[in-house]
Amino acid sequence: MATKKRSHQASKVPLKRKSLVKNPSQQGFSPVFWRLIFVWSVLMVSAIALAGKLYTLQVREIVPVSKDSELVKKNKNLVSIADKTLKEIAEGQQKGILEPYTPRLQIVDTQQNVLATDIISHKLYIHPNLFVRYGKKVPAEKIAQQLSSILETKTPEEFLAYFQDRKNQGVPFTGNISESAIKKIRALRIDGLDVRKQYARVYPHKEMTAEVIGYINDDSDRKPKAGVEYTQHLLLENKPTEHILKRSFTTSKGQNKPVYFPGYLDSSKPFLSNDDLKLQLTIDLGLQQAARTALQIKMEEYQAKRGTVIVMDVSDGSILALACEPTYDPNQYQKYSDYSLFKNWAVTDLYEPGSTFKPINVAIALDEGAINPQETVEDTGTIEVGTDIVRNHDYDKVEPRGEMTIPQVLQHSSNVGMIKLMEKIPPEIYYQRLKELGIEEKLDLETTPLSTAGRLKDEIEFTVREIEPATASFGQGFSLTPLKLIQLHAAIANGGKLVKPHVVKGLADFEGYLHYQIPTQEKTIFSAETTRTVLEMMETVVETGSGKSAIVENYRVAGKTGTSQKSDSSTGSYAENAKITSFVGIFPVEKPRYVVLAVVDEPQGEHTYGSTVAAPIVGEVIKAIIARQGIEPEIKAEGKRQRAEGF
Amino acid sequence: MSALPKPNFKEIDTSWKSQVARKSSSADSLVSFPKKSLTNTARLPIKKRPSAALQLLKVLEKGSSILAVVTMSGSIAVYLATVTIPQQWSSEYENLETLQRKERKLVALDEALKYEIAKGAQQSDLEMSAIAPESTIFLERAFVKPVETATSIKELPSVRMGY
Repeated sequence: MATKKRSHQASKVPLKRKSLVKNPSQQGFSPVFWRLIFVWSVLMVSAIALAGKLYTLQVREIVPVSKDSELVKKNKNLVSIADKTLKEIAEGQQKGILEPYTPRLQIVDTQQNVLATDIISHKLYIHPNLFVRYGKKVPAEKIAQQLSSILETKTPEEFLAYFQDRKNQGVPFTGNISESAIKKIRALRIDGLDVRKQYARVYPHKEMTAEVIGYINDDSDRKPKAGVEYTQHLLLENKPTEHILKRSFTTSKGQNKPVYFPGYLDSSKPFLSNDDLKLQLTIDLGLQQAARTALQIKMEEYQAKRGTVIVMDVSDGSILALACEPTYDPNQYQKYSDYSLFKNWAVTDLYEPGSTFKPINVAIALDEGAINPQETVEDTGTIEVGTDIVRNHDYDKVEPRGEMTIPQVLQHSSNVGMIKLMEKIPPEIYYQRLKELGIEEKLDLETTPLSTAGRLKDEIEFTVREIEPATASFGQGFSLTPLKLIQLHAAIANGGKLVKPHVVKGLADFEGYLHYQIPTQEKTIFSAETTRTVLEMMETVVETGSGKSAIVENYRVAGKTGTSQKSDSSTGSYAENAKITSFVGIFPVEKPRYVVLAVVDEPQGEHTYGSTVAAPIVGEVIKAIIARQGIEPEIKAEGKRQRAEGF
Repeated sequence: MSALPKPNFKEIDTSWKSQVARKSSSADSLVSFPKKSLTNTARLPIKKRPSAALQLLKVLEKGSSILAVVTMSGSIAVYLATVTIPQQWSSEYENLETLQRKERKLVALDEALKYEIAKGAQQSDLEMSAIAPESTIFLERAFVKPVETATSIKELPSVRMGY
């Protein structure tokens, strides 16, 4: 009842709320207010104190783990946090390195065919002493079994043997690792199985342009070792950029994915530093293939030691094809023990050009005014020069030909005729002219840094000994590289200008527009009139002389064969059976554009001459040029014949 | 309940003409008000000025509303800046990397295919032949008739239409 009464009273009399403020008639605040203020203050002070402590702990105070402590020595995982504040540790964990894709520049040919490109590959590094999963050691046998089932390249036993071999430490596991295998290996979460993303240089056309492109080392250094890769390294290299910025992780489809905070990017540093430029070469891949195929066929037929074919545009010295055999696959350069394959012997090795140099000598004599185009000489088959006797190459088979015109001297490649022609120039002047051709100067090409300068005899020896200018008149007694020879013949074709051979066209964008072009150089060595005369003389060599194998129907081709003896370094004299056969062709004669040189070293068997071994190669290459460049035929066979008979 | 007395409508003529006439003569005759002293007249309640505390509360209410809106916008902006944008950016960056990787791989594969075709072409059993001058057709330049420029426009024949 009492309670009922109280409740009844309560419902009738409203509760008097305690006011924070005293009765308005009184001054000041009530004790409740002060109590609240007190509680609030206590809470606030505690919060501030906590925040302060938190700040000290997180920012100021060093984690109580020292680098020198026993704990760190025992547990190497603690090294990263030793002597650091929590803030530093957190920053270290939150920072990620972003490495944008900065591949090495692609190398393309004139038709934008990609000759060298970078791809991203994954390499597996195996560290058997770190086989740990979530801090617990995992037996090597188990890892071997798992890797064997994932990669399917080795048995578990072979993997165990691989782990034990110290040679394999720090070296990436070889073999192709697929994307799915990478995922499976990563899912194992073994510390000692490290899958790293790397750039790999790929040469899709394998050996086709190896002597031009070269290769780069297939390791993390990626150092260029040969070819354009080496000489143009500064143009090709894209220095990798990296950005350190805040990073967190998010889980998507069961995978941890990094989330980068772009606001932390350094605005003063460009984010993507690479561009889409490509290093464009003057090489025409199709022509290169044709040249290599023609060379391979003849080398196989004559069991030759080595050979080279060079195609040059005479107007500016650009090399359209440069094939050397034997060659190598730059994707697997490690497999080759013969290091001479990596140098481009057409640029580095010297040889005596032999008869292919005769047209150059005729040009010198004509230019000097020592002979005129209608000049005739008596070919006696053999000639006595000082104490030596020089014979024609066919002296044993053919009777002396008697009086000969200059074109006939070239057609039959008469050594006696050439000696008699070149006798008309004083040896000093002849020597001076040979020097002016730049034989003794290094002729660089972007395919190798190891270019070699040609060799002439000493000036005094050349002028005093009668035999020296005599042998030089038929291309022996001095040496030069095949590249130098083609440069000299290009001068015959282009009106007397010595153009600089080159394989690099410049930096081109994806549409083929050149953004940087390597400047060309030229120097005049013959008069235009002289070169025209010599060129027409050389045309007769193909039409009626030793270069018939290079005839291409309905086209005017000029050329010269060459078969020279090789010097034997052990005896110091010419080798008995070793010779170099060559042929140089210029076409189209009416408007010379291309010069093609084929050199085959040490062909075996009978009838191994420039006319039989090298000339057919040049003929095939010229046919390929016609087809690829769409060069119209220059008909009128009768007209050609008349010109040939004119000399 | 209005404090005003009810008007005596019985005395009012319903004719609107007479009403107008009377209105013009005397407006007082229309409605008769009881004559009462001014002291008895009811007054409208005078609006009291709210107390300073109430005004402060109102200002606080407005301020807090604005603050709430600003805070909400700010938090959305912060969320976008710290969560959504980095996620979107990272996702797009990953896409870019994937595309770059695939592009390079495709280029390498395409070129490798060209190489294989070129190698295959050398095999005699495939009966493929290299391009040769004999198989190349050179067409003679076509004679192009000079274009005649029209000197006068021919009149079209008049066609009788159906109407």
